[in-house]
Amino acid sequence: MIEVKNVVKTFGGFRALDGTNITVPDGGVYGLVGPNGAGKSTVIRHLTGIYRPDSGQVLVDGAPIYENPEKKAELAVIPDDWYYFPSATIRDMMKFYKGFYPRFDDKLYEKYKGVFDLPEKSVIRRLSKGMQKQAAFWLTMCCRPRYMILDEPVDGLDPVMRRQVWSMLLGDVSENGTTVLVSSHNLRELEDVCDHVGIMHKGKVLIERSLSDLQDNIVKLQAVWGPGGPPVPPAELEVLHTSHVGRVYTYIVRGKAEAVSARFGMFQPLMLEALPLSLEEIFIYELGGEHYAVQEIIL
Amino acid sequence: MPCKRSFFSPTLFKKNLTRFWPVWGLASLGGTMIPLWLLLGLVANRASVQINDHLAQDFVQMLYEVVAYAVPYVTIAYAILCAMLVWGYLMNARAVGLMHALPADRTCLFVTGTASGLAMMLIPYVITGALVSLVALCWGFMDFKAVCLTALAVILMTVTYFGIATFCAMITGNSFAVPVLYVLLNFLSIMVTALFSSLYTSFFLGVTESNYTISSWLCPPAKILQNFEAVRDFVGETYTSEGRVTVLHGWGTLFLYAGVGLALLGLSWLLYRLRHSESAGDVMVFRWLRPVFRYGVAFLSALTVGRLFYVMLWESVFQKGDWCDPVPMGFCLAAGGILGYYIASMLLEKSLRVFKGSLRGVGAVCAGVLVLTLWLGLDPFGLETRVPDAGEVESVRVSGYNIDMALYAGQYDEDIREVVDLHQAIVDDRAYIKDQENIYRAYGIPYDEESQTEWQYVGLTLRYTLKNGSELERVYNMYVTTDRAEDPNTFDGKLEALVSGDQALRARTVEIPRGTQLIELSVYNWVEQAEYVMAEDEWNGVLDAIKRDLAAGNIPRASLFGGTRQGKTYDLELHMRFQVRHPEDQRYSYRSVSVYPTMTETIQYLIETGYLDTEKLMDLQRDYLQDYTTATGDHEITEWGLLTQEELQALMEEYGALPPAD
Repeated sequence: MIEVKNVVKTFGGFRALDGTNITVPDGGVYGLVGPNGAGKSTVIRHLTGIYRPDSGQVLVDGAPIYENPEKKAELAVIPDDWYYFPSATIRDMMKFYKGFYPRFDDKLYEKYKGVFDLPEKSVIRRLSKGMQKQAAFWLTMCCRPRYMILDEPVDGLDPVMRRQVWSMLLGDVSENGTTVLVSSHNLRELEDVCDHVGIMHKGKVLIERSLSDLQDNIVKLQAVWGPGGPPVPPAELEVLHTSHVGRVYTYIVRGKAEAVSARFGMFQPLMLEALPLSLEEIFIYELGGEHYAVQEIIL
Repeated sequence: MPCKRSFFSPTLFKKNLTRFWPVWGLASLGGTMIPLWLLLGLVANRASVQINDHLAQDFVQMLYEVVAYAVPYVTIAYAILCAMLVWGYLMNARAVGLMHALPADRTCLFVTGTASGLAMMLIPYVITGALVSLVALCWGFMDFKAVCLTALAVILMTVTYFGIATFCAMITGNSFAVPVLYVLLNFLSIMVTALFSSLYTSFFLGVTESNYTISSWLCPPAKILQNFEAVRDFVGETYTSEGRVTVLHGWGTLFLYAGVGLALLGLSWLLYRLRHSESAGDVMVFRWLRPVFRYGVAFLSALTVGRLFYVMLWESVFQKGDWCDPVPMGFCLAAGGILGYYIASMLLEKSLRVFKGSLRGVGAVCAGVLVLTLWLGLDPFGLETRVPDAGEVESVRVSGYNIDMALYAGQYDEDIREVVDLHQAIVDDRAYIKDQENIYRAYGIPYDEESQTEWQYVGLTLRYTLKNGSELERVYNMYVTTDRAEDPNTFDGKLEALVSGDQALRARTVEIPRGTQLIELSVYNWVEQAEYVMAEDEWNGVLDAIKRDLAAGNIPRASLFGGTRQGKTYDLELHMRFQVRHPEDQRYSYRSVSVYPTMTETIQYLIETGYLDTEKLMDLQRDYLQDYTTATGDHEITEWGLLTQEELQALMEEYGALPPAD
């Protein structure tokens, strides 16, 4: 389990992390989302032992990650701006990683060679950004880490390769129980792969839940009312948002879909349907009243 | 297994060496020029080469000279290059991210980086040394001890400079700053001393530049080059080429700085553990170093840029003479300091917007400059006016125009009082001395045809050793005139009295300087341009003869106003060579004593011992008259030798010059 406890990090007076708390359970995919400048990359650099927190703790399996080679050997990272030695080829970098990561898997390396179809002996800096990203993914997967930290992992990849990368990642999670933390500002993409989600804004984690909890606890109802018009929603329901187009009314209500539907059904609408909310909608409505720039998070 | 709680990563070490092979490869290629040159030389001279001690000695000499006079320069430059390469990742946010995310702690990365850097530095030397040794082995003049000593010296210098370079890399996150800091760390003490000395010597008459005793120790390259040397010396009493060997001196210095290098490596390790990865790109990675950098740059800028402002805007336009004016200097230093302060702030903040809230810092710079200017202008500590009391003086060395003597308390108390009195007179007349110099520099020496006044620009150095063990040195350059010299109360008069005094004469002739011994005495004949070394048993004879001449007043006294008053010379000089009495310190001092016709005792002794043949000397003077005489624009002969007036007149008519005035 990865734990970030009350971490504060200041850069020359700017508080990049302001008491950040994150808990990443084992064996799942955790999506860390937030707008630019929210502190996602800073959290990741703490998780990988690059940064030392001003205060607070960053723990992996209960042990601090900073200056802890044993724990770092179980953790691999693909940063947003992956660094490779200027004249290195993929093979050179493979040898380099292999020298550091004790569980580096040569067979997997050979297996993925066919999947990624990258020129193994070409200098990496001559490859396109997408190809470099694939190379980073290839090598990181071969390290066989127990924890994988990915910062915007599919940025720059074409849709086919994106799908392939996610597929490999999820395969690794299910086969080996790898724990993955993915940082992204693309909610739609994370929705399909994450078990847990944390939203960061201005150095703090605003909300952190499992995706099922989030989706089970909020419902979108579409109702068509008779000539009498819409009733006043019951006071015991927490209606987060109401809108209508003609006679079709849309309600975003906090609660279980069955219970909320049953309560609205008592007003005998002409039509009533409970629809699942996308992750994007959940965040908009969950945080809409918190005075945060939610649109910014989503965009 | 890699760096799992390990102190060393073979993978990273190998990566560093393979990544940077062009650098150490090129260095190795450069190094191979030495064995190649040696080999070609041996092959070309194969016929004449014989395996003997000479060849072995030449080999040792070559090794030692290379290690003493070439390796220090190469190492100082190569060390910073290697350090920049192995620690380059700390200056790049992406690279530092990769390295610090690896399963290796900072200690492992530091040890591996250090090992890589040292290996990169030593590989070219190892290759060069191995090839040189191979050539020496093949030709049979290998000297294992010399090779080992050379290798040891190379290792010590490598550790020294790589330690310094690594320390620089650890305190900055900016790759451009690393070499700048390296140069500063190596030479800052000398630079600051020179700049500061140059500033206060422009204000204080007589105050000399620092003797760099402390600053040179803070400058490893200077001290290593100064102390570590290959010396050719004789073994035992055998003064033959076979008895000569080359040895390396100054190992203590080398070990000392290698210790400093190791200490800096240790400190660098601590700093590496403390430094934050996010400091990549910062000029100073530690907050506590930022004010040091900011005010340090301001100080250096005041001394350099501020001084330049002064030279351009005041000295070249308004100033008369060499002596600086404190108020404009203060303004210029402040301008330079403020400029440096803002430049340093911009570098630290990585922004041009540093003016807001900078008043306090600028105020501190101005306050510092004000204190400095007040000191330069008012001399509150009496640096310029310091004259020791005669009772404080243990010894004083007086040297300058026509004078060079050392006076010791208890033996020459009266002479010491005279020197102190002269020193006080100079200090009292400092305004006059500065004015005269300013006027003469600006308008030249006033020339008055009717005036009989002669002038002379003389230098005078007073080097005191005080009874409390401290030393005081003052160096004066002054214009002295004959009319003032006639007044015994002026410094001109006191100096003339000292120069023409008994002790000055003794010191110029027979006195053996304290702490030295006479090791050579020779007679130099200027006309023949030949030197005859006297036998040791003749030394006392000639010295006694000079003493008798001295007692009889036969030796002309010196004067501030030239040698024309000294009369004829025999064109003979007695050259004396003294060695300082210290087995480790082979310093020598020399003295020349001109032989004048009035020195009858000395001449008699030289004739008796066969070093002086008057007839032969006169013949030579006749033959080489044109070289021997000098004439002024008025054709007046000003120097002559042993010829009679009649002989000289006849010869001069032959050469078309007028005879000398009677």
